[in-house]
Amino acid sequence: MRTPEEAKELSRRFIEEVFNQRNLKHAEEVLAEDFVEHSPPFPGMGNDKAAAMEGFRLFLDSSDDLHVEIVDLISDGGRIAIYGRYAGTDTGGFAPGVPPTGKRFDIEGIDVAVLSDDGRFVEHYGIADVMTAMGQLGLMPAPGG
Amino acid sequence: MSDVERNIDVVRRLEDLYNRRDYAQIGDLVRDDLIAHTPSSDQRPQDNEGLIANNEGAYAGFPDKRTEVLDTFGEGDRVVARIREVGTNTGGLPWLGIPANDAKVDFEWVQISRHDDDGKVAETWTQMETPKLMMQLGAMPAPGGM
Repeated sequence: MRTPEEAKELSRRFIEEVFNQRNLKHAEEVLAEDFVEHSPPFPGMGNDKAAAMEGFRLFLDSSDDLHVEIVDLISDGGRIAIYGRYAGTDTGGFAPGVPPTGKRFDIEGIDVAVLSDDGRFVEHYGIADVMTAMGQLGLMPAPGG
Repeated sequence: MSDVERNIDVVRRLEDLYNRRDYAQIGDLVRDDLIAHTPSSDQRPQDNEGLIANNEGAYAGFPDKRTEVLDTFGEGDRVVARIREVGTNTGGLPWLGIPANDAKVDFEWVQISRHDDDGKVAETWTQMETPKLMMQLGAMPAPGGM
């Protein structure tokens, strides 16, 4: 069991390295090989480490000035919630097959990670405010589809 | 029972109360001046009466609605909860412009709650799988279909 402070330090480093410094190698190192992704960004991606890594890559590719700011961290040592603010310009497309809009998004999300005793991430679930992002990018479908 | 354990128990009891639609204890679990940060939700006042109206409104659309607490943990005055909701739209969701269509929904939300010294919920921050819900209701195209 890690202390909450240790879990927070690992999470701050993860957010800074992977999203703000675009260092996917850090994610490769700190995600356990048997990592379970409960919230893949798109259906059909799978739930393993490869799916999680692909999710990070798609997110980075969607915005070349993505910046993540941590609003709050809550941890019991074994688990940590990361309440974050995700802002950037839609330079790469919001979803596969959707052309970039060049507009800015600025949304919040809550993610939970489970940590192993040796300080690796072993599970994740999380939800971001996708509806608000789609509204900011002008991608909201008309009512009724 | 530590304060964190007590606060987690409050979150679980509140979800149980919503599932039983028995609101007598709601004032023991949630402050009447609750501040709820829930994106894309209606702006009904989040006092105890507003929370009851929200839950009853959801039952009008999904009479078989059930929620299940999948995970909880806490630190200090905060609790994190992962909650799953399932139901069938046999009643219609007029506030979303969606008629009754027998669509089955199965979605989750993650909630952070701040608790006061008595353990009552004072403030919440919630993120819902709203796109998944809207797709299940047939009100939004699946990704790639846009």
